[in-house]
Parts: sequence; C-alpha cells; structure tokens
Amino acid sequence: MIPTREILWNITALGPILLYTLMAIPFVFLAYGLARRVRMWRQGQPENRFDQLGRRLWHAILMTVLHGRIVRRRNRFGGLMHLAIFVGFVTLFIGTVIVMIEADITVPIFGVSFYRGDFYLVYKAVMNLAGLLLIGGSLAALYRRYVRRPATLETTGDDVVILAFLVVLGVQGFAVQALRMAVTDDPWGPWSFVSYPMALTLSALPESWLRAIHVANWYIHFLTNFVFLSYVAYSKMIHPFTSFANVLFRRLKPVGALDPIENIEEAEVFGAGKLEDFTWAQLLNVDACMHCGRCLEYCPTFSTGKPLRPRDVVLELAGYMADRGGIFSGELGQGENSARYRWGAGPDRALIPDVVSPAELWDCTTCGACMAQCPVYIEHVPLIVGMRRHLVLEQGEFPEEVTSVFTNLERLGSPYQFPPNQRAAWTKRLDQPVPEMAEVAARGEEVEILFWVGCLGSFDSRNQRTTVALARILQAAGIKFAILGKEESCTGDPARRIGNEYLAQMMAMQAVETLNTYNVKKVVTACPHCFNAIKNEFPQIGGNYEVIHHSQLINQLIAEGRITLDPNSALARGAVTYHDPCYLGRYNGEYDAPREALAALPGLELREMRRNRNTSFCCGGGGGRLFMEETRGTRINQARVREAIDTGAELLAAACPFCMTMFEDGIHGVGAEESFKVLDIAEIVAGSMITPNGADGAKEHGAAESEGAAPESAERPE
Amino acid sequence: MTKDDAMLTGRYRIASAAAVVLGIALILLSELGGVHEVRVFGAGLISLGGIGLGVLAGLDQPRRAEWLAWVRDRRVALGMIAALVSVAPVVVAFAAALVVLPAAMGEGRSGMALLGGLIALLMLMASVGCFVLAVRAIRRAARPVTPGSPAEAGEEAA
Repeated sequence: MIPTREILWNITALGPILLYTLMAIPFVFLAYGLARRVRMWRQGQPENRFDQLGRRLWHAILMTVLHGRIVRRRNRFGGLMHLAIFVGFVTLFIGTVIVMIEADITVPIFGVSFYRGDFYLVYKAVMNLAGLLLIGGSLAALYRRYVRRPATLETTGDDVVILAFLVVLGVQGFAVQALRMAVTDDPWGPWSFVSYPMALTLSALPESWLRAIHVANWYIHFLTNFVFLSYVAYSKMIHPFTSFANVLFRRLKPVGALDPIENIEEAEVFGAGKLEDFTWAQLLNVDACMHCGRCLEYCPTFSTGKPLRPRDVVLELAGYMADRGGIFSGELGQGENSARYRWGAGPDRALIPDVVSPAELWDCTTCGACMAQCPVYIEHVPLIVGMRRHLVLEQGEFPEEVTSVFTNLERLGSPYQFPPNQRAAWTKRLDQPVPEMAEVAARGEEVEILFWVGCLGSFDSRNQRTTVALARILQAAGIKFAILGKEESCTGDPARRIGNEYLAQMMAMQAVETLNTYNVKKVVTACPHCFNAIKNEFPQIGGNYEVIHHSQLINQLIAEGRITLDPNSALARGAVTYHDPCYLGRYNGEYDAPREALAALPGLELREMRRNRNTSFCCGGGGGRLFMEETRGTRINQARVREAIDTGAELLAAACPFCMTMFEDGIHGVGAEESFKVLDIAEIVAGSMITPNGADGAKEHGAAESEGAAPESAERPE
Repeated sequence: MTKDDAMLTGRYRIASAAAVVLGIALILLSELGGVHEVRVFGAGLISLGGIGLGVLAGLDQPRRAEWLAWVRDRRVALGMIAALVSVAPVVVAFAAALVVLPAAMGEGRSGMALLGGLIALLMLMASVGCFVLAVRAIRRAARPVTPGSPAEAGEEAA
C-alpha cells in the first residue's frame, strides 16, 4: 500500500466550483491594492533605481527572504519570531501549490501522481512543522505586543487582525487534517505529528458528525484564506511585496552622501513641500514601513523624549499618501495610545505642518541610527532633509539660531564669526611650522597629504587642541603635509544637513575648486563631517580625493612604527571608553581604527558603552543641531555622557570635533568635570608619544589641560 | 489619459472580464462534466482575469465608489461577522474533541488521545483568544480619528 491520500476528500463538486470561481475576488482585491500603490509611487519624481539589477536582486533576497537584517543579535526574539512566521507561511503556501499541481495538472492532464510514497510522508511532516511555526510565531508576536510591550513597538488594530488571521488559518489547517484522519483512519497518520493525536481523540465522535464538521471547516478555511488575501493589500500584510521592492530599489550610493538638488540655479522646486516632490523611490520608502519600531531603538530624539520619532514621520507620510491615493486602508492603522497617525484624516492637508511638524524635522541629528536599523532600508534622513530644504529655501523657515550660521558661512566661509585669516592661528602653538598649500605651490613643491583642519578644528579653542595634537603626530611621523590656511572653507556639511542646499553647494564648489587648484590627491581630517563630505559628496561636483580620517592615519602610523608610544605615559593609564561618531562609523563604516589606536596603549583598558559601533548613540551635534538650541525633551549629549560614565571609565575618547563640543558641554551638564574627561584620539596618542626632542606629550596635551590649564587660543565661537 | 489609452484600457477590461467568465465556464465543465483536464486552465483564466481587472481599476483615477463606501461604513460589523464565521467551525471541532476525550481515552490509546485533547485545548484557546483580540481591535478601529496637528501631538509626547 503506497502512502497517499485522497485530495478533496469529503468535498462534493460544489467545493472546487466555489473554490476556483471565488478565487477571482482575492486576486481582484490584491491586484487593485498593489496597482493603487504603484500608482501612488509614480506620483513621485523620476529617479533611476534600475541599475545593477543582479546585485539589487541578490541583496533583496538576502535581506528579506533570508532575513539578513531582520534577525539580529539585539532583536533576536522579534527576528526569530518573524522568521518562524515567514518560514511557516511560505512553506504552507508552497505545500498548497504542490497539492494543486497534483490535483489540477499532473493527474488530470498527464495521469502522473507524485503526491505519494516517501514524498508524501515527508510532505506531511514538513507541513505540520510549518503549521506549528506559523501558529507559534504568530502567538509569540502577540505575546511580544501584549506582554513584553517594548517601548518602541506600538500595536495597531491592523497588527492584531493580521496575527489573528495567521493563527486561525494555521489552526483551521490542523483541524481539517485531524477531522479527515479521524474518519479515514490514515495508516500514515503519525507523520502528521500535530494532527494525528487530535484525530485519535476526535475519532470517538460519530462519523457523520466528523464529516459535517470537516466540510464546514474546509469551506471556512478556504474562505478565510480568500478574505485574508483580499485584506493583504490594504494592511501591513502588504509588506512582503513592499519590503522586497524597497530593498530591491534601495539607494546604492554611499549612505553618507545626500543627493544634491540638480541644476539648482534653474530649479523651480526646492525640497519636498508636497508629496509629489519626493522621488518615487522615497514614496515607496514610506509605503514599505511596517512600523516595527527598530528605527526608534537607537534614535537620540526618541530616547530623549522629543517630538521626532522617525517611524512616525514615515507613517504620517504613508497615511497621507494612502489618503491621497484613494486606498481606503487607514483607520486600522491608528495607534492605540497615540494621536500621531492621522490616517484617514483627509487628503487635503498640507504636508508641512499638518502632516509632519517643523518640530519633528528640526529635531533630527541625521545620525542615521534609524536607517542603520531599518530592516527594509527605509532612508529617513533624506526624507527629513528634503522637507528641511523646503522649509529653508521655499518658506524661509528655520530655527533662529541658524541665521548667524548661514550668514557666517556666506560671508566668512565658516559657521563662526572668525575671519578666514585666523584659520591657521593654532599653528603658532607648534614648535615646527606648518606650511600652507599656497607657499608649497609657490616653491614648486608637493606634499604627501593635505591636512583639512575644518572649522571647529580651526576656531574652537577646545578643538584646536586636537588639531595641534594631530599636527604634532604628523610632524613626529615625518609626514610631509600642508594646510590650506585662510583658503580653507566649510565643506557645506552643516548647511546641507540643515536644508540650505544652495549655500551648501556654493561652499562645496568653493572647496573643490581650491583643492583642485593645488591638485590635491590625499586628504586627512579630524572631522568626520568634513571626512564624509569630502569623501562622499565632493565627487558629486568633481572633487575626487583619497580621504582618510585622522584615526585611520594614526592607527596606520602606529602599526608602521612611524610614531613611538610611551606605555607609561600619564594618559595611557586607566579605563577609557570610545564613542563612535555617526559620520565616521555608521556613515562610513570605520569602527576599528580608533579602537586599534587606543589598543596600542597597553595601559588603557577599553570599555565599550552599551550602544556602540553601528548602534552607537549620537552626541546630539549632527544635522546642524550643534548650532541649535535643544529645547525639547532631555539633552542628548548628557544621556550619552551618562552612558559613558556608567562604563566605569574615567576618560571618553572622541574622534570628532562636534562630539567633543557636545561632550564637553555634557560633562559640565551632568556635573562630572572632576571625575570624567573627554579627549580626542589624537590628543591621547600625541600625549603618549615619545617625541624626538623628549618633550612630555602628556603634559602638552590632555593631562595638563584637563587639569585646568587655560586654553591658549580663541574663545568658544558663537 | 488620452482617448487611445482609455480605449485600450476599456479593451483590457473587457478581455479580463471575459477571461474570468470563460474560466468559470471551464471550472463548471471540469466539475459538472467530469473534464478535469480543463480545471487548471479555468483556474488560470480566473486568476489572470481577476488580476487584470484589479490592476486596471487600481491604475485608474481614484474614485470613491459607492460600494466601497458601503463596505467602509460597515467594516466593523463585517469584520466581526468574518471573525465569528472563521473561528466558529474550529471551535466546534476542538470543543467536540474535548467533550469526547474521556471516551477516546478508553479506546486503548489513552496517552495519544490525551495528547490530542491537550493540543485541541491549546488550539481552542488560541482560536478564541485571537477572536477576542481581533474583535477588540476591530471595535477600536471604529473610533473616530483624533484631530490635531502633529506638532501638538509631538509636544505632548515631549
């Protein structure tokens, strides 16, 4: 006797007639909803995301089907839960297709049956396992939403209805199987290891009852499936389609490079003031959000109680788009404890401020933690900067504090009110002179590397100490370098992130012109914001250079033995914790070089903060926030400083002048000046360096000044 | 949409509807006439026709069709009926399993029958629990949308 079973057992001809005829309905609903969404996305501006299709496809499979970004160490429960639901659902779907192929193609047309023997037995076991995964995963999701309740997760009616659907579909499948086996006394029953025990129990019922209950369950099972399929396109369950599409058409350019406004002199629209101003890919972006809340987990504004929650901005845009697109989903998407999703509130609202508030837009530090965490590659920062561009360039609306930044950038080439001829004032603190590129060029010489000092490194007294330290390291290593001096200007990073794209492009073009004039090939900078702009954004306007961050260069010099460190230095003792700057780590993937440089000092014990590397917590200074007042929620820099202090370290190692400024303020804010200090990697290394003239590096750098020595240069810029 | 586009869309719509009708005819032929070879073609035509109709309607200008408004207005009642209908048969099945559990245990395979009763109990609990949660969610969805600007909501959150 060959193991198999009768397909459509206990079902009359009416069953398949209804099954196949009614199948049109879910297909109409599903196709309508998907087409409606495609139509909505097509309202956006054109953008080519169809290049490198092979790479895109593989990445989309890796990240969605294979759960590359979904199952993560820090989201193990949620990730595995999703994996169980996914594997269960997909396996059961494939299983249903297999039965259809047998019943509708191979047997009636070719007279061949493959649904038998060992294949059938394994199939039964696999389907039972898949059903368990589906039900177990869905119940785990409900447990997570109702019992564990992570702060970043908000449960909507839609979430619950979908999970209830999945559980009931799985349960119905087991019920139908158990009822059939209870009547047929299936000799291969034990392979259906979940249904079989139930079948034994049910077999005590009269056969007529079993048959009647089986028929009812069979019909309701397929009808529930059809209702579920019809619901898919109008609910979060659309995400298998939108997520895959979003990852497939994700931006392949460097994540740190914001797209410029092309041909800005002749542009008629600046930024996104209405839905149609976003690109189609950005509209797909907002539609792909399944409000998992991972973008909030490391978000500095969410963690400090500010209005901005990246997820909510995306959902607000998605709800608005659904309203305008005529998709009648919406009310099920309203959060249980939030008035923030006004889905279904009407399509006639203005994008800003009715849908997204200016407060939300201005709170963003552009740290990119949301984008790094999003399992489907939604890019929140470009959305926010796009809307900032509209506010700044079309409405002339921006925080008052930023006015002077724009004015100074335009007039003086830096956000600060210092004349350009003071840019090189810090060089007076060095024993050896630092040449400027103009002098080098005039002598007909070339340098190995250009030291891009940056505005904070040039003018801010605290950050000048980092600049001096780095110059000493370069000199000690015998590197032939020069600076631009008064010819250096801002890269345009703050203006661009604040939304003043016009000014940003002006600054960037000026900088590129200067660099190209001197035929610069290699640039080192201590500022990750400059680093990111020169490396990722200058190529947009013809500036192509090899750019390295000072932590990378220092690490390389140590590894090559070009600088010698004193293990007994005053600075090279005790516990230190390192803060990953967003524009070095998340945006440019450099996490190891600063750590390796610190590890070269054996007396230092490196202690990691809870949030580190790509989950690092922003200092609060990016996205132009360094120049704005922090009036909402608690202070981000203080939250990070407390986290650093909690490691038990006495020293916080920084690698960014923005972070340095924010942490100096943060240390004062939490009143830890006596017990805790912040030093740049360059200061720590320069302070631990055995210099050729035998000078005590520690005294010259962190150790002396952190003990209260007065800064030698300018006041803190205003 | 140009006149030609509209004409083309009209033709596609007719073709899609015709595919559905032809598909249904093939399914009837398959099941009532015993010609099972045509079932897959019927199913294929119904699927393609349904997709075609859906895509064409979806790509068309948004319209607030009356029947959609009717569905929208009654979505709570419809949702609750759908929830009840989808859960009722499994509840009957698992409840029946629990009722006959003592009898089943007396038939020689008491251990397996007890396990079956336990699984049935868990599935019953999961089904009823999901029904309750779904009904609550559907009722909650019927709440009116909260007015107010996002800034106000954000400031409250802050």
